Amino acid sequence: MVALNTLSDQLAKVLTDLDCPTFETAPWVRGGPLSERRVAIVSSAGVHLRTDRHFHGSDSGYRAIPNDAAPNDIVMTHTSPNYDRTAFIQDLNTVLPLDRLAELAEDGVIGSVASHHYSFMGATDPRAMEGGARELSGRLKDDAVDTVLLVPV
Amino acid sequence: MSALAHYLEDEGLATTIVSLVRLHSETIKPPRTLWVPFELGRPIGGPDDKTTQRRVLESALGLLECDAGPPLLVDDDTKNAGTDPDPTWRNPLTIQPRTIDATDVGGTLTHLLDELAEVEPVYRRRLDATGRTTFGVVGIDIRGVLTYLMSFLADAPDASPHPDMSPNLAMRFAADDLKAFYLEASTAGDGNPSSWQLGTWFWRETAAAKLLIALRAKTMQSDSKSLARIGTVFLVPRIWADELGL
Repeated sequence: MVALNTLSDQLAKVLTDLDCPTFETAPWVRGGPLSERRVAIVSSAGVHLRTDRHFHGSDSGYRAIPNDAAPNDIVMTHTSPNYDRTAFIQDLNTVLPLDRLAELAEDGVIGSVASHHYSFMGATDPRAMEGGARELSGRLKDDAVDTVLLVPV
Repeated sequence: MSALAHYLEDEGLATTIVSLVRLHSETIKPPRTLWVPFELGRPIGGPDDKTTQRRVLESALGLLECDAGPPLLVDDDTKNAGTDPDPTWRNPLTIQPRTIDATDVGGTLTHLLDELAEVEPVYRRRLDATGRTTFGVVGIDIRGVLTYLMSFLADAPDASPHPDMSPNLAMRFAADDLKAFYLEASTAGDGNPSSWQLGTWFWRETAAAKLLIALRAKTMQSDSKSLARIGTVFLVPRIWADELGL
């Protein structure tokens, strides 16, 4: 468990009492060697291009972030103020590890990096994100992505 | 996040997830999970800690080579959790202590602008060095941010400075911009301060924080449910509201 003693009692209770969805199926996709895979990041940190729409309320949509976006072009409008943002303001890779993923591709650990990555805003009920997630899968496949690294905040 | 893994895998994409809240992953059971013990807000590790960041990515992606699931791998490197203070850290900012009287709007703004004169050069120096800022969500400069926030304290909110934000929402994001501006300046020096060290400085020592605390108290009493909710929830993090006895 995350260091709950670093959180307020209220936030710790929100996390432990969260109504998580459960699923009757357990999909499992087999793939080729990691060194041949094309990887995209999907974040729930509410990050997006400075020029894109901010996240708000229970926004269940997602925003696209080009892989070659400059770190200065990326901001965060996640609804919650109750988590550490000092890491993000110092180093984008703590939340959206674009540099680390590029290094893994350069070193041949993964095959390639997607042309775009995506962010949802994690304070939303995950069930409300299903439509967006299924739509997003089409965009990822159009980019020949076969593997997704999901990163919370 | 774990549910997103389920939806994407169901659409034929292989997924692996970094998890900060193990309980959620154990309940939702995404296909592949790396649980990390880091503080909320830094799922890949600490700032500029390339070694930890790379290890987290390699561990999470390595789960894709498992033949069956759902595997849950635990990264128990708690020394990188981000919560330990750095005793060598020295804040590059030295600001004068200032008392804010929220009923004296003109005097408060003067104090804030005086403090800004101490903070801004350090912010600019860091920006020049890194080329990156997270400030600017509302799209106005830092003096505009202060003036806009002050208009709420004066019970005479200015028009929203952002075409897609209501005045109340712009106030909330202006508060985030103010925090980002100060915290970025405070990380301009050497060392690896914890979020608690940075928060202690901001919330206990700056006039900017006193403005947000005063604004919180003011807006919580608003007849506008929207404004009251923003004041209650979004201006001061819960843990600091508790710590400061608000």
